[in-house]
Amino acid sequence: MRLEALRPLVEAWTETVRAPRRRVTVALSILVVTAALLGARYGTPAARLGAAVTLVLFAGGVWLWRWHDRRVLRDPALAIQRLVGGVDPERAGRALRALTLAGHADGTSPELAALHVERTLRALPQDRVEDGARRVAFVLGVVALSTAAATFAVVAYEPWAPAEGFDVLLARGGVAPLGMVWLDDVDVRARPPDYLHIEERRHPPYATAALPYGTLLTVRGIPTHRGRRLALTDGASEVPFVDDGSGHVVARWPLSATVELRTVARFGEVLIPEPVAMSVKSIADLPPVVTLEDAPKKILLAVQADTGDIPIRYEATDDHGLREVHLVLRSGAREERRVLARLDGETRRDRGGHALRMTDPFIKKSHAPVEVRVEAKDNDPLTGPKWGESQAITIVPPDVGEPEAQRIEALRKLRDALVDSLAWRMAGVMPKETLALRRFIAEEAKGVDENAELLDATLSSTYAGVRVSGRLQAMMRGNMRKVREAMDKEAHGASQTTHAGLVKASERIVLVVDAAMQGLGLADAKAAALKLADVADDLALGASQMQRAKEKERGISRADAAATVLSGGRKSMARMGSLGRDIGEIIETDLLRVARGRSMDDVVHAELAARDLAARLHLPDPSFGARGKSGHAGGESGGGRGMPGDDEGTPSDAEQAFNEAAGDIERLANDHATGMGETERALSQAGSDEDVKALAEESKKHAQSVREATKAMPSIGAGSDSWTSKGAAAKEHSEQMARSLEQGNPSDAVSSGKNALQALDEAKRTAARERWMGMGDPQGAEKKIDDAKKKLEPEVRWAEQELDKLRKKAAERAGKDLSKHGDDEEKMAQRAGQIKDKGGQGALPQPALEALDGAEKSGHEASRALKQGQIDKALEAQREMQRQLEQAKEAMGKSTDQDRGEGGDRDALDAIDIPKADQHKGPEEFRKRVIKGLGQPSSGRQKDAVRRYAEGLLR
Amino acid sequence: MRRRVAFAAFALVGLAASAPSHAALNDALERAGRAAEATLSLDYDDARKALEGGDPDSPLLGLERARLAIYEGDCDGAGVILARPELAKTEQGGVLADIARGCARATAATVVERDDAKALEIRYQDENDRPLGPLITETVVAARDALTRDLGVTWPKPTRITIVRDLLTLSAMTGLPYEAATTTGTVAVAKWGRVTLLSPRASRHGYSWRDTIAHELTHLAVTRATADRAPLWLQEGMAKREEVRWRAPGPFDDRPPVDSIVVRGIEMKMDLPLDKLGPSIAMLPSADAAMVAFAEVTSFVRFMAQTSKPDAMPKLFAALRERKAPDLALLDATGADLKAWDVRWRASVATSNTKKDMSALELMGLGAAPTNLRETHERMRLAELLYGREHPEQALAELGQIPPKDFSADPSIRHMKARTLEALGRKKEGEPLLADPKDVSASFSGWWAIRGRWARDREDLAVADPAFVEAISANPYDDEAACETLDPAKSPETTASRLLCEAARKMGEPPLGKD
Repeated sequence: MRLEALRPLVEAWTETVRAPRRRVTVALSILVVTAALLGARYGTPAARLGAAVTLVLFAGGVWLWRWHDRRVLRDPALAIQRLVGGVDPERAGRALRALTLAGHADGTSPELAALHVERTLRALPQDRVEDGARRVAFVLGVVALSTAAATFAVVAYEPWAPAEGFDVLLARGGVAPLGMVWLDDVDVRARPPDYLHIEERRHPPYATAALPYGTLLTVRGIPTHRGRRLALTDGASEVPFVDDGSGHVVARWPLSATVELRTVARFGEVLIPEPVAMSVKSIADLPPVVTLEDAPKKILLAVQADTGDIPIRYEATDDHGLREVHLVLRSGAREERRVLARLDGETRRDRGGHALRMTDPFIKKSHAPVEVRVEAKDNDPLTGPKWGESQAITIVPPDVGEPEAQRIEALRKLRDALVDSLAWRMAGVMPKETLALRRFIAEEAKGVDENAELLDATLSSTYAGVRVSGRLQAMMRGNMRKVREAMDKEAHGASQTTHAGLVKASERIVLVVDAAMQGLGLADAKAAALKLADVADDLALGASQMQRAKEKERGISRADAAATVLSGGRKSMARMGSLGRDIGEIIETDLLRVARGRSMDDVVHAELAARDLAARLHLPDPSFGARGKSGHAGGESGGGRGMPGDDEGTPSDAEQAFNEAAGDIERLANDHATGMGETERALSQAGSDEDVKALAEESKKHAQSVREATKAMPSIGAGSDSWTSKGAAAKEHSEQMARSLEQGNPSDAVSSGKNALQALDEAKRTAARERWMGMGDPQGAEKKIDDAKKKLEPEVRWAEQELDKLRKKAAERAGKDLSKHGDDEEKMAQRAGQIKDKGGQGALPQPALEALDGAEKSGHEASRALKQGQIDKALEAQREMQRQLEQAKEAMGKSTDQDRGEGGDRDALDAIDIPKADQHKGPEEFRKRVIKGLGQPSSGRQKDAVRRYAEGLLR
Repeated sequence: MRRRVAFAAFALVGLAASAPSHAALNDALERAGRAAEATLSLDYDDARKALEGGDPDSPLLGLERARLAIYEGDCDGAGVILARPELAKTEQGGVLADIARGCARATAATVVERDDAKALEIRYQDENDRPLGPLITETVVAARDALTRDLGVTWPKPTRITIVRDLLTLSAMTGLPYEAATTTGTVAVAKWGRVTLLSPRASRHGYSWRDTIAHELTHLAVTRATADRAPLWLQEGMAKREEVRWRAPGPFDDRPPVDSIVVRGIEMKMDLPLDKLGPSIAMLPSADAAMVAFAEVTSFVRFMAQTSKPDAMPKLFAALRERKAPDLALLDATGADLKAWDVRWRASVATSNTKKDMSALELMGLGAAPTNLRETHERMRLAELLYGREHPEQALAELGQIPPKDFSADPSIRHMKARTLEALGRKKEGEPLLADPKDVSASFSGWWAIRGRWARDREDLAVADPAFVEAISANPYDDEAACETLDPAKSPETTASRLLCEAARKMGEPPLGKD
């Protein structure tokens, strides 16, 4: 009831104030929110918290204010106080007192009191209340306006800032939820690393791009809002944009991984990213791709019939460029790299080839499998050069001694076959009846043929790269020749005597092959042991490494590899005869010791055991009986000749005789070479300087004519098989002839002149061929050649005549010396004959006997010619004798394994010492002849060979 | 005067300062001397006692510690001690260090078998030699007993035997130069308190390895009894005398007679005065020289032992141990010095009947070699090869061409012939070849083995069993001897024999004529 009376006043007041009050609220709200957002924009946690708290407090304040307002208006006393108190305090006081009456039970009638209150309240001045309300409304309006103006001022200065603040305020994890565009007119440029030699390119902004690793991305644009700290980020790192001075900002991003790049604005600890990112894929510089023809492949040298080269054909490609290509050989812990190609770093593809010899020192020294790969290195300077490798060709070398063991087994088969044949011949009883005798002889001859074939096959075969040495071959072939001769004798006159002769020859060849096999077994076992000694050293080294934690793994693999090789070598050695078995057994036992040490984690003793093995293998004597024999007595006893078979490995009589004959031939060849040199020296010393001087004047004139003769010939050839090439050669020879004439050397002049004529003949033939094929200007060429030849021929003839005269004079002067040389030559011819006769009874090979026969004849001829002063004939015969002696030497073969299979043991070949000048006269003479020969113009017959040799020297 | 006073004062101060070091040196010298004497006499406990409490930094005591370690088989320990620079640079230290290194290398991770009951320690460099263990044990026990009986010696425990695989190791273990070992064909050395024996597998045809063990144990016994002061002639003479006394007399004892060898050696001017044999017979310039020297000392000591009182030898050892000079010791023990004994002995040898066995001597290599030795070897080889290819008839024909007068006593030829006849099924013809050990010049495992096999076939075990024992004594790794059969599927019945047979087969020696 009381409120009803107040309602008109309240409504009037409220109606008047409501709108301005709302405006104020709104304006204030906007201002506070804006201020809070601007505060949040600082991006620090404190700023963001402050903003949030401000907003909450403000909202609370507004609500509280509204709540309070409503409470005031509902309470009559408060309402009277609020509405009237300000405008009519007296009436307001009365009204308040009247209100107090209504609440008291002091005897006053409630109805009366209510009436009183009502009247009092109705008496309140509504107009004045409305005036008051209007005044309040005005004030509120002013406040609202002021607030709005202030807000506007703030927002007008940084209109985007509140939005940024809002975004920052809502950020989670340092990233604002709403993206904003920060850059306009964006320009993206990509500059690949310099080593790629690719031009800088533009890329559409915000598009996905794939760029090489290391590319420098430059992002440029106009900032949409000034004053922001813009940056380019992939989410992990940032590159700030900087002002480029032209109103743009720029950031450079080096590409090191695939990224999503965004432009962001940094507000304290909060980023506001652009809504769209630029996805950039980093293309890594890939390692080169190398393909090796036929790889992967395994080559088992033990069964490889072909001992030639392993072709290495490769192709290496890289996405950007290659720097080097290597051939890499690895075996166990060993590695060797050989450069196949060095490239400029820009070549993206390289193809090439190489021939890896089976006898390559690395392979020869490797007893574990050898991995052959081609590896290519690229040119990446950023992450460092990367290597790409091909698949491997794995060369599995035979076990140490395996080839030699195969060779011994082949010889053993041969020996066994010869033993069987011997037994057959011993058992054979010669029939008396003619037909049966013929059959018997034919059967024996067939057996001999089969033996010879088997011998030939055994000797000419290659056993995983090794062959029977030339000396042994020659010796066995010589003995086979004796068997054949015995067979021939029996075939021509069958008797008990001739049959016994065949049996004897058969016994001899059995013993020779057996002794050769035993001797070879001994030598091969020693050689294999020495090779394995290095492996045992490696085993010890591996065991030593195993004692150090850092190298333990490496040591284990080294020791394992060495143990495998030693184990394989042991098996081979066991097939090499008694020494091989002896040392092989030691290897087996010592490997057990090493294994025992390792298994008990006692690597120190494993190493000692390995060193013990290595020491033993470095001294591959038989375990007992190297020189002493197993005697009867005990203790430190020695003595006794021992039992048959104890002398295993000592050369047989046949072998000794053969070796002696080989030595005799070698000595004779050396002596004869020295003798030849002395003859030539005697002749040159007998030549008179006066004769040469007398010839000099005239020679100069002829020299000029010689040069004139070939003047029309070209100086440089156009291709090796053209007439110009031959013509140029003719001109060169003519020049040499002219020079020799000027130097008073008619001998060389004649030689050069003949070569020049021969070259002219070849030039003419080539010119004719070219004419027939319709090439060039052959007509003119042929005429020029004919003219040259016509002029040159008389000059060569003249030189020959003069040379002849000089020689005759020299021979007359050197007559006594030449006669002495003739005697010496005769003695050497006789020596050749003696060796031949002795060898004929023995078992020298047929080619050696024939060569000795030829040498003997040539020697006699040279002797006669020397005594008769026929210099040319004598020199020719001497040369022939020397050639025959060298041939005989060759036929006797070499005493060691130097002449192994194709491309055999290069180490051994390479290790031959060139004799020094003071060591022997033979080599000295030989060296003089070589030097002289190289200084002289080459004859037509050998000139290609000389050229090839010279090319070889220059290569 | 003032100068003199100053000098005297200075000297007094010096003496006072050096007194403790002199005392330490004297102590070390005294201890080292005692330790060395005890070690050389194989009294290791005494040596240890002498060294206990000594200056640990004293080089002298360090050397003796290292020596003791080597003698006791602790080569690693000796190597560690000798690694000290002040020891390594001394001559004695260098020698010991070489031995310690060689020994450590050769014995690393090897197998050792100990028999405490029999006081024996056998180390095998090649564990495939382990089947020899029972035979070695039997030999050592018997030899020790014989030596105690003959010489009155006691034995330190354990007796150490090291079986090495080759001469290189023998050299490394003992310090005997490798060249010397190969030149004289040394098979064993008794030094550093142990017997180092070459494995019979090292020699293709073996050697009398059991007698060798007895020989070397004699050296150890003499060394112990004399504190290593016995002259070489006594050492070797005793060893040769005792090497056959551990077992029953054999058919090849004193064959060829040592007196014959001495006479032949004197004729060939290869004999040496007894006191000029050098440091070791193993270091003589040739195997023949070693053979003559052995014969000399054997003959001499035998003569002396036979013509002296029974206690002469123990007396001689005792005198030597008391540091008496050898000549004086000999005079005290026997009443005559070396010169007098030498005169008596040479007179005795000259008058003995020494010409009877010269052919055997020639076969042993002393004297002119038979003219047709090479041809004999070739015929023998052809026979082997023909036999190996199963042509026994032809093999026999080849053997038939060997002149019998020179080679009828050769056991290897007899063995070959018997095998050939066996293959031909004509054993009856071969029986005379194997009838009597006196018919052959030397012990050869193959000859003994086939004799044993044929005797067993005849069920004549009295001949068969000793024959196999002799065969194994000559070459335990001859599979015909060790397995007592040619049939690879069969083996001896006893475990020890079977193991030895397996070891022999494992060696993989090719059958006769297949090599």
